[in-house]
Amino acid sequence: MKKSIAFGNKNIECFAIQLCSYGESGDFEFMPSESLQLKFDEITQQMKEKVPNFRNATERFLMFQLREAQVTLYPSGRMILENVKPAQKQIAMEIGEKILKLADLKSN
Amino acid sequence: MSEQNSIRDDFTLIKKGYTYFDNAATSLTPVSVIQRISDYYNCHNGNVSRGAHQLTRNASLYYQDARQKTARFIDAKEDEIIFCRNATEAINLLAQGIDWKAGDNIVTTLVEHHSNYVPWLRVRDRHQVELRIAQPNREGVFDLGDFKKAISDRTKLVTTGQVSNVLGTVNPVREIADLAHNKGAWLLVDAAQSLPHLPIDVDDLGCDFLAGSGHKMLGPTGIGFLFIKKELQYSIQPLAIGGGTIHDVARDRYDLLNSIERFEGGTPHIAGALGLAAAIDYIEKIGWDFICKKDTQLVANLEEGLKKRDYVTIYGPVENSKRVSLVSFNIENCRPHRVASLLDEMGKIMVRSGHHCALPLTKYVLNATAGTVRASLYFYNLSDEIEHFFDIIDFIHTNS
Repeated sequence: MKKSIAFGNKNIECFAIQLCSYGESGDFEFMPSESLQLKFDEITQQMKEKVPNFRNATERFLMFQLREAQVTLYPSGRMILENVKPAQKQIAMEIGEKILKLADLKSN
Repeated sequence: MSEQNSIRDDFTLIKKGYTYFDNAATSLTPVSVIQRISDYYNCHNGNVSRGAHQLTRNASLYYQDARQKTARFIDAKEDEIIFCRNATEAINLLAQGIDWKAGDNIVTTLVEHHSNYVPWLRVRDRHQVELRIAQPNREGVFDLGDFKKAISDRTKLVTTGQVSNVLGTVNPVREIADLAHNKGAWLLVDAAQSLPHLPIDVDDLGCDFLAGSGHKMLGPTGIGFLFIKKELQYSIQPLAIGGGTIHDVARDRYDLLNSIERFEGGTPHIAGALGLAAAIDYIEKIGWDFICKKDTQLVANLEEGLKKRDYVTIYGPVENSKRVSLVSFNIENCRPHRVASLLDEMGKIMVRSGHHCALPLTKYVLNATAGTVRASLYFYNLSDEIEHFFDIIDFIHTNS
């Protein structure tokens, strides 16, 4: 599944694919078609303020929970979304889009 | 070391800096295999069989040669090898081709890949055949008594993987074959995971059928094979008939060929078969001594390092394990896909995560509901790569 999502000054095509998972919750990978080069040193604070269940932040990845999903976010904008309920690409895409919005300095 | 370096030079993705620990999903492809496929399309691109021009003749000869090499690789005869897409298709060919009778039973195991499990569930449902499932212990290891109990006079087929794609464990196929044959049953071996790691002789294994995939043994995707013992070939119906399978066709009837080609309806994957033959050439050039020695060394390093880390759960036998260079594990408080993506992002290390197409095993035996991380190595991997892998998983544990 792909969708054009606004980020910064442009629209970026983003993909969601289901990873190996079964049952009512699913695991997904969300991937922008080009690297977003997120600067975690600049966005982590605002992410922490907006995401209540923040787990960890390093220069290389952020880990937090959004809805039921366990999120691993990388500087490219790639995300691993685990335990997405219901296990639908559409839901994973919505979560990915919401996270990009939170990470977008221009929209905050 | 120079031998190892020269081997690594044969794999483009290694030269590009990937640490490839996902060999149980698909192995890397040496340049000689890619070259053979390219040569076919560039120099010999004809369809096989019966044409009278030089390109079809060459293609036919190379295809025949590929069948011979594949047969020799497992000590079978040339007319016992059917080329198909992969081990999954090979197993399905058999599942669809056996003349099942209501009341027959099939014996399989809870450790199987879905490809050697789901087709038998379908046979059960379509033909009123009983499916008996041998249950391993919590480490995924079998007691032969489990098979002995399950196999009866009504067992038509016993089917097992030689090597588990999740645990890397090597099953006692020869002993299972004896149990099956004592009751008049046939034995199918899913050798998708064992072919890259172990020299195989179908007579020594005692199997009647054996399924393999080219892409797990350095070959291209889309090519695999099924070994069928010569004397059983007329007991099995082909999966697809049509072009290439026919002795004669009249207005209202057809006669199939008496040769192995009766199982290969339509134009086969000629380039794939040639690529598989090139992969076999490559494996034979490297040699089983080197491959097996390297396998033993790599899995020892991997197991030893994982065992030292108390935050790691290893699946399968931990003590005195007999397995190929493949280990499934989990890191405390970190789900498998997260671990796999972190290894990729931080170390360019490719591992597999999830259930590895073996849900009955991961759910009911390993109790790994979110799946596992699987590191599967091959002879081109290095101990240094394993050390790098450990550095990253230590970091993941500390930071997740």
